Amino acid sequence: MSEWLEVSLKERIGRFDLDVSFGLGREIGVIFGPSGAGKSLTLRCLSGLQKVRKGRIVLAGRVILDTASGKSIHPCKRRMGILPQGLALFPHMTALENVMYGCNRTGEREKKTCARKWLERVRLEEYGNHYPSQLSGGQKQRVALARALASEPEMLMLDEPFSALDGPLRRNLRRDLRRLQEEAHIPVLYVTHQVEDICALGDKIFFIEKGMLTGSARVEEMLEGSGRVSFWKMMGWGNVLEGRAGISAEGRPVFRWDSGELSLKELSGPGSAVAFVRPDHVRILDPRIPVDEELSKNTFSGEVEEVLLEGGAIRMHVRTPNGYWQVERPVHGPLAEGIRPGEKLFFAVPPGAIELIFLESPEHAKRPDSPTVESLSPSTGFEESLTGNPRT
Amino acid sequence: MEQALFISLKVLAFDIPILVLVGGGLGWVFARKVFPGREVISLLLLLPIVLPPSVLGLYVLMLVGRVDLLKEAGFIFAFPANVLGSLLPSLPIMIQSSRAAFAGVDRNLEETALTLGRSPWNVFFRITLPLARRTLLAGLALSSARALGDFGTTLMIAGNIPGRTQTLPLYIYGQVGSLNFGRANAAALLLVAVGIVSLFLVRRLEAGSHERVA
Repeated sequence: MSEWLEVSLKERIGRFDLDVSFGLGREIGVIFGPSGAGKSLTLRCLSGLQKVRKGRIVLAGRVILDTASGKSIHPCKRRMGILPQGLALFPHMTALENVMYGCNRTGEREKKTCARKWLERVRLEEYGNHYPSQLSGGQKQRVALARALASEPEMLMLDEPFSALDGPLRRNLRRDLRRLQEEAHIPVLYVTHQVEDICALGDKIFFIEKGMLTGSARVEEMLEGSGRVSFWKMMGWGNVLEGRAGISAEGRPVFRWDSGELSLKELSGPGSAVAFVRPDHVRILDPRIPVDEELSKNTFSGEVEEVLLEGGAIRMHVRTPNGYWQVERPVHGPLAEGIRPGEKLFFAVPPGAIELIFLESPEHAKRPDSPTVESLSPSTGFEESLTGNPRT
Repeated sequence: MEQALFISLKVLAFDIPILVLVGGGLGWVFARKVFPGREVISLLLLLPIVLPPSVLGLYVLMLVGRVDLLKEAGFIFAFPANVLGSLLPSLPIMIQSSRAAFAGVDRNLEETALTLGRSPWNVFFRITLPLARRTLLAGLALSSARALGDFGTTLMIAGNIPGRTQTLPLYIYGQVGSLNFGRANAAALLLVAVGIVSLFLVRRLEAGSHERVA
């Protein structure tokens, strides 16, 4: 079945090669990948702002680009709206004028009516006379969204538009975007490196790395069952451990992998499993303060190798004798400020934050005579116990 | 003095549109287009700012002397030479200012405007020009003041013929030669006033924002 949007692009800029092909229906597609992976370049090529060496784009049955036949529609006629990272609100125009500029109407009066309607839809009708410099971050996002949609595009692209905003504001804007997309019923391509954006927004996810699409899937499939494991691995986000769950000699439920052990809160049954710990659920500890009884079995210490600022969070890649760990904290959170590469970090994994996915059938896992962790032979063939490798 | 003032204003009336179109246009090309030799051409166009006016005038005279068409058209020691003489040192100022003005406009804004379905001309007049306007006007004020006050190049190629090519600076020179310091002072004051107004305008334009005052 052909999609609403069909894309095939090949472009080389210096030594960077972009080679992506994908399709998208009238839904939200999230392009996810690390910085420098080619996410923004993909959007620029789609919108026509970047010339493409080889490619074909079909939108709503309309051929936008076909390098084989030499066809390339000018960006102003593609009807592909884009929201760049900086939003690109025109500073010499008020919010109303910004949206009017986008309105696909003839006549000032019609444009004004159209712009007012759009400002109402993003709940900014009272801010029409404000200049962008007089608006807050969230209000600017809404104006930019209203302006892009007022041009009645057949597709909308957003390049990390909410990256500079904090939690509650991001959630509100994601809700707005989801609602507006459902009303406009057009494909939306959303570029992000924030995992929560994928879960909250995406219908379909495209993984991109070094200019190549490394995978794509529907989000609901990826968030269910064993699909989650490949989802975590592809994202390169989070702490993924492959090992076995069982009962320790002291009778505690534990998860053990080839270089460590985690105490679990409860266990439905032993068996081969993958444990996942969200980096933001890992708790940073102050070594001078006694550790909670619950956490004491799951404490680790290691050297911070890399500190990355991603959106409103600081992500640290920590090397420990038990492998690499990703630890995340809000930018202004306690114990996170001032941590530099090379410093020692103490942290704990709360047993309740460990998510287990069994790789064997539950029936087998629940058999009363199932072996304990101690009786299992060490698992082999692991590339690395913790696969949340630091990103470059 | 009235005649000299009239000729100076007439020269400006020709200079300003040329400064806007040629200076502004070249500034846009240098800011927005990448082509081989761009910086070399840009530097050559800046030369008139650093060359002594007499050298500039000499080269123009030599050039005109070699081009029959210009020689026969009676270009030298006539009004067109006034226009050229004042333009040569002022045009680079306008080119530099407009280059900075256009380079200062965020390309993201222009590109986003295109994706909103607007034509490149519409984007230029509705987005680029209003955002570059302040620096462009500042450049125009400075280059116009420079054109109005040109002395050396104009003297070399247009001469100092009262009623024909004598502009205000040449008039001051003539009056000082005749020891009429009163008249020279009156004309000088006029040029000083123009200079002060230009600088005031430049300062205002540089300090302002893009937003209109409600």
